[in-house]
Amino acid sequence: MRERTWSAGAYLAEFDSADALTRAAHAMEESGYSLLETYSPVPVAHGLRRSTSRLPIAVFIVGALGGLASYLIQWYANAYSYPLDIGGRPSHAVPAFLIPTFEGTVLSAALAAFFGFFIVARLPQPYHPVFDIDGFERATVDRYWLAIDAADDRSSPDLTPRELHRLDPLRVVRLEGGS
Amino acid sequence: MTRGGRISIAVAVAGAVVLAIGFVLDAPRAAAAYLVAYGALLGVALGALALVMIARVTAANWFVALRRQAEQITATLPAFAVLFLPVLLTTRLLYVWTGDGSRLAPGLRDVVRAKAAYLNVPFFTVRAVIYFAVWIAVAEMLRRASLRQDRDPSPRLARRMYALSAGGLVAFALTTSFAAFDWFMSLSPGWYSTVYGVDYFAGAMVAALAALTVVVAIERRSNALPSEIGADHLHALAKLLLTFVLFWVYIGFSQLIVIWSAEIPAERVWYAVRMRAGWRVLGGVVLFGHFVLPFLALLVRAIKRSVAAMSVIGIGLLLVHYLDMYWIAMPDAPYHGGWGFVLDVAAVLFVGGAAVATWSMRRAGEPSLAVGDPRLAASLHYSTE
Repeated sequence: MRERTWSAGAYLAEFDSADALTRAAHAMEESGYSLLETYSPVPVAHGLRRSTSRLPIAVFIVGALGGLASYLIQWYANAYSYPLDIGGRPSHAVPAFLIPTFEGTVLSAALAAFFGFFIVARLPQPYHPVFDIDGFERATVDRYWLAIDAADDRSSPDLTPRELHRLDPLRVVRLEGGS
Repeated sequence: MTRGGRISIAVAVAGAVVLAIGFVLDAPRAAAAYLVAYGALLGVALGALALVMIARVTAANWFVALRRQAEQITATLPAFAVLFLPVLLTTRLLYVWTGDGSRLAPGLRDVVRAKAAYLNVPFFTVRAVIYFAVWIAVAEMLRRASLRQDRDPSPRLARRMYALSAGGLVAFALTTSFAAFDWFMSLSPGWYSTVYGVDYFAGAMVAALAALTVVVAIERRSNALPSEIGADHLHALAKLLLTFVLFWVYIGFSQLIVIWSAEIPAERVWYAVRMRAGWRVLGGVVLFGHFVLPFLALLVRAIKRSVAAMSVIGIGLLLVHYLDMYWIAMPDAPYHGGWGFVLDVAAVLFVGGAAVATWSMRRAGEPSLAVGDPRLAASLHYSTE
């Protein structure tokens, strides 16, 4: 079972402009927080520091394995288990094998990217703690939210709300974790 | 004249002297060395021309900031027209179809006779003139309009370059394809492959993008380019390079699989020669250096954004591009090893030195950015994120 989102709770601050959100996000990153999340109705350029995804590496490995498996299947069927003489070609026909190998690589890599994304993004997720906040749905209309995971090394019940208040938000909300 | 220009002239002269001595000792081998070097380096200029036109037609923003560098590479095409003269003067040494057929095997003699209406020296010369006329006309018109735009940023010029590029690409595809048929495929007149021209174009695009990468890296190091041109532009260039590395192997493999599957003696002979002895080793080196290594390296984001890494890949691909041309053309040319390799090196120095000297002379005094292009600001702020 993968870990539940915000199992230790979270601190959220509501803003009324993209600028305020960007400034707040940068300020919190400056002060050392790393488990940040932002919610915005419009795309916000360079909102958070870039974090590197491990998905490309997984896609590469699965793609390479898929290519290898495709080649081995053909080798087993045509050259090892039941060799047939087709127009005098060698039964281990490398050029002919390469086409399904390529297709197998692309297919496995694409599937790995598709399903890997769901795993990395923790989808599907029918319930999320933010829905407990009254008025959070305005994040899809005209409100901007910044969330900090309470599991962040820098988070503390006294300090974090105070730091968020200093950024001049409309309000600060504390979500409890557990159960 | 810059120091680099003077050095390249000296290099060209040194290459020419060695090549001339070689011509006296063994004329056919010197002609073959020259043809291969010429084909590989011409590809760089032709690929750059295609790149400029493709970027025009697709209205690519990121490319505007690098367009002047690509246009300056196409400025070497008139030099390549002059450099074609040695090939024209040595057709009788290079191409077996030039003689009366007495040098040919009986079966091949009939094949060549049937193609005589196309494969004869006068028509060969006329076609070469047409190819160069098209390439130089398109390249020079695009270059002149681009330089005029530096002073006069009117949308009329941009529209004209757009239309010229659209028509130019069609003319380019036909002329480049037929040039590859004439100059390299006809080395083995009994053999043909319809994808041959595309194969030459694919190699040329890789070489042009590699050369452009190296030029951008050098200009960045000497601070000739504004600081906005950095990792993001290099990243875009590297992604396009990766695309054409894949395109090259895709086209090469397409040709192989069709011929391999059919296994018709007249078609397979081309590969049969190239799968023997040293040619097989060279083919492996080309496959590895032109595809496997750059493919794996260019998958990595950090490499695509690093000036140093991309310079290494660019120089490496230019070298392998020459080896690719060698593998394609040399087995059917009057070839022998031993001291013949000295002539290969001399030919590269001669053609390469002359091309670099032309490039260096013609770009002198030109702004290193297309300052009149209305999309330049957007291009400078291009980001791959």
